[in-house]
Amino acid sequence: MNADERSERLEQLFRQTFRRVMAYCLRRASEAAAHDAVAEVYAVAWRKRRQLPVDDEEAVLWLLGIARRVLANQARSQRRWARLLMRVAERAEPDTPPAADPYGAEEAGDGLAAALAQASDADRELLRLAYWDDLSRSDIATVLGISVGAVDTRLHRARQRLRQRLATANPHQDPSKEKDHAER
Amino acid sequence: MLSDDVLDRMLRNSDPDPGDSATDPNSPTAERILAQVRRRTRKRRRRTLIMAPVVALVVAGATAGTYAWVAGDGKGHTLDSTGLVCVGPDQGDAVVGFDPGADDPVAVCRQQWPGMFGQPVPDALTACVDSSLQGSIKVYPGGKDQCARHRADPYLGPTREQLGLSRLRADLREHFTDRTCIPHPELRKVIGELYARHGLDGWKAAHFQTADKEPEGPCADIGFIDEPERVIWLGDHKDGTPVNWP
Repeated sequence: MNADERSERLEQLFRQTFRRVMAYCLRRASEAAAHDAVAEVYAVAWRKRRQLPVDDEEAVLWLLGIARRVLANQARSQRRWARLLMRVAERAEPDTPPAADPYGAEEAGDGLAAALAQASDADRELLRLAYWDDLSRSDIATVLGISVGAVDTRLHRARQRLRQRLATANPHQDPSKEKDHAER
Repeated sequence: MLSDDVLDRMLRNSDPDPGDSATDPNSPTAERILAQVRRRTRKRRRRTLIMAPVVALVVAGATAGTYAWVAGDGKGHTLDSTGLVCVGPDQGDAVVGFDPGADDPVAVCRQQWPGMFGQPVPDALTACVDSSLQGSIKVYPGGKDQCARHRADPYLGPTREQLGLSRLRADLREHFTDRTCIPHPELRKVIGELYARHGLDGWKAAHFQTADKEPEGPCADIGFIDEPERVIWLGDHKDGTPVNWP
């Protein structure tokens, strides 16, 4: 494959799959971080292009699997910087209480967002894949590299834990009502 | 407790759907990202070409074909030498902690494999240094041919600098055992001595300040070790709490 053909193939892959890869990253990272992650996803995909599935849908799932790892690495580096910046902030503003909830969920009064923020990374990712990215059990299994049976079990447990967290946070209130009220 | 239907509805309603315009493959943003991807993939090729005259070209014959790769020094020039990638089955790569002065990459992945991937450890694992700009250390299931298959170099051990940094980290831990407040000048002095002892030329230590140029606090710790820039950034530490050494 010469340089022009390579460029054409890369562009074709990009145009066919960009919408879903970008949506995946935007749901999990800030806009700037998502843009950087998407660029890295396609750069990695290009380096590993021999493994690119022929089927379009499988190719998207393969790219989402790469995106998951790129975002995880990005988060790992950001956590290091965040620790450093937190220390600088503590020094600069010693009277300011530290932010207990990095997602700002509790402050926003959103019970579900707070419960999701408290969930483990694995639970959160599973729930996002199922309810936000709208992937089937078998597609989730492909993205996470686990069996469909494991997806079912983990998803069931993740939902149970989320339900318990919601019940603990609002023992006398149905959090769904709050949302409905806000919508009115 | 919430019913399944209500919980499902709540989860679906919480989707921060980015919308069609933000994910349009023909938008100016998409064009900019595509240009970035092209630059990144081009950079890698350029690096390979620069390396070619100064290193040996190794050609490996294999039944499925012939793989060629450019052999560097095989010593993982990573942005952060304290991590490596265990390349698991399917999509299951995992980044794990690593001490280049004390650990063997294969042994690290072998030990953590069942816990990370839920599968038995493969009989053979091979550590390679990939040919990306970052040059991450990656451990692949399989034998020596894995490095060539992934256009990577066999891992030959840490660089002199990585080894020096590893020893510096260990010495700092030992030197300041049980201390909960180390003044900035003292920490800088010890780091300076350790730089000299471990041959870390060109390295410096600096206080991480915001644009307001805040003064140093009474106690210091290490916030971040920036290997590409050769800087150890010092942060302000809270007196009375244990110091976490990176």
